[in-house]
Amino acid sequence: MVPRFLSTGFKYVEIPAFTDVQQVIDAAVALVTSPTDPSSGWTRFTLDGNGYYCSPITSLLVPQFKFKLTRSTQYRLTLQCRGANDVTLAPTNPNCSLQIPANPCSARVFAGDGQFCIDITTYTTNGETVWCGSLDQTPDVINFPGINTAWCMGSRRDSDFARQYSTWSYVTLQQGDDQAIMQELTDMHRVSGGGNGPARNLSGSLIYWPRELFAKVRGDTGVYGVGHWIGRSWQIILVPDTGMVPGSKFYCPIDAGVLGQFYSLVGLTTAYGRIPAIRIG
Amino acid sequence: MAVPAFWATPFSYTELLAVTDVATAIAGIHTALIALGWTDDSGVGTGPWKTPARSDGAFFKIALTRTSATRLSFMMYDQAGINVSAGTAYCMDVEAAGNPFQIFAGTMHLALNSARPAQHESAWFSMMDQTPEPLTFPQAYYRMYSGPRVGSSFYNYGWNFTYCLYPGGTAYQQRQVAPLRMPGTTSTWQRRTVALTSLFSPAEFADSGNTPPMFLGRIPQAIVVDDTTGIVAGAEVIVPIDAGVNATFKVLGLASYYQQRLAFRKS
Repeated sequence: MVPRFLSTGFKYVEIPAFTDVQQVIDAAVALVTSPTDPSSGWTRFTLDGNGYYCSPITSLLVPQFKFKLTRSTQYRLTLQCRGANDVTLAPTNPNCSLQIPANPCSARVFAGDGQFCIDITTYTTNGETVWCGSLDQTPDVINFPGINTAWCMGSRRDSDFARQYSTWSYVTLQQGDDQAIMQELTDMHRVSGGGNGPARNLSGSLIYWPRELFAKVRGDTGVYGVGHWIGRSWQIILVPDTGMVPGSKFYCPIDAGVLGQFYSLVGLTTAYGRIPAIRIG
Repeated sequence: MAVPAFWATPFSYTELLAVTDVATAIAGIHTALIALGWTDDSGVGTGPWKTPARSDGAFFKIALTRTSATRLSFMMYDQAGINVSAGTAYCMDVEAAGNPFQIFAGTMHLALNSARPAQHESAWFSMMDQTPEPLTFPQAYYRMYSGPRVGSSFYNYGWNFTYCLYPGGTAYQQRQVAPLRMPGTTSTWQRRTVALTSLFSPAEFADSGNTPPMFLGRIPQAIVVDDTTGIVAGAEVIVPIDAGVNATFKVLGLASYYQQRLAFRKS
């Protein structure tokens, strides 16, 4: 059986040679509002009264998230994210923007029931990314009180567009009832003692893992409390940063006889020896 | 979905009550192993005992010796006949007055636990599960716990202290290997979800000495539990291993390592 976090609807589009982030916003809106297609499992997003595009509620097991894209300048774009409770994540300490160069560049936009991502794939040295989504916490109880599953992050700080916390392991989450915090998540698939998890098996095959994460969001003790497993990202996996070039399109077996196709992201830098990849097929 | 291969191997659990002479333990181990298809080289119940051959022919052997009424000595040999502990005879004790003795046997593993009241003494031996890799490439991979004692000297090693033959190595070495699925380095992390559900994971290892590290395999019919939740040696946990399938695992007496303990399948 295909794992639940790889069983939700998804879609993606490539945007070649654009010079204004408005083109990316337009393409992203067109993508998420494209008609529902039961044959592919795709369900369209809806627009709420606050300008947020709301992920479809296709199952009670897939928490809703909402996002809004804003063009700050021709070259700068900001993403805002909310959970189903309409609390805006990190309204005062946002790190959820990206910047494009003056020369034409290209992008990929990924969307689905539990994820949204814009990945700028051509830049001078680094790509740029904004992404957000909700988390698969099954088989645990859903929506544990005080824990919202929405998350977001981007390559740059919104206030001055300085590049900051641009590794994939930094995200903004809601802590408790009323705080939105930025913190570094921890990849679950590490080894005791804090080392990176294995990249290959004994025969040399690359190992891919779900993006399963630990974070300090309960506030049991201290500022951020004790770290706990907070769930796995929908349709996102982690791949080794050795042996996998950012921007690669590759296949990964997701069940016996079933292959999923993924793109590794360009705009988020490595953490724990891994880079993220998002499902496209 | 199906039960994962490393929890689908044949296994058995035997508890001997009030063992006062390790000869009783050896007899119990013999019975458990023969029932699972192991062969007794001696033919008279004194071993060494050889696992059933895996589909690629891989196997290992265990030799058990009654050093005294209260001391059981053991050796492990891989399929090439190499002594896995480099000649060191490790052993475990039972109380002269007797204590429970648990035998966790399987076609690819054997774990023993002498439940002495003051301090459990445990040992484990295994051929590692490397699925979904092809069995014949690159090699069968064996592990033996480095303990719990050499003669009268007791070593309360963590359960990850093992003898193993590292990729590219020519002789088994005593190494502390890295269990997987652990988020951090300090006690500020728990193997629990945000809803405080306990997380149990396969007992799988990586060779963190290599760059990038390599996945080495899993101990069949074993799991890792978080002892910050109060789990102690001898505790039993019931864990879902597939939709609608629960398994019971019992925690060995080996020392905790980064808040984790090793438990073997009981039922």
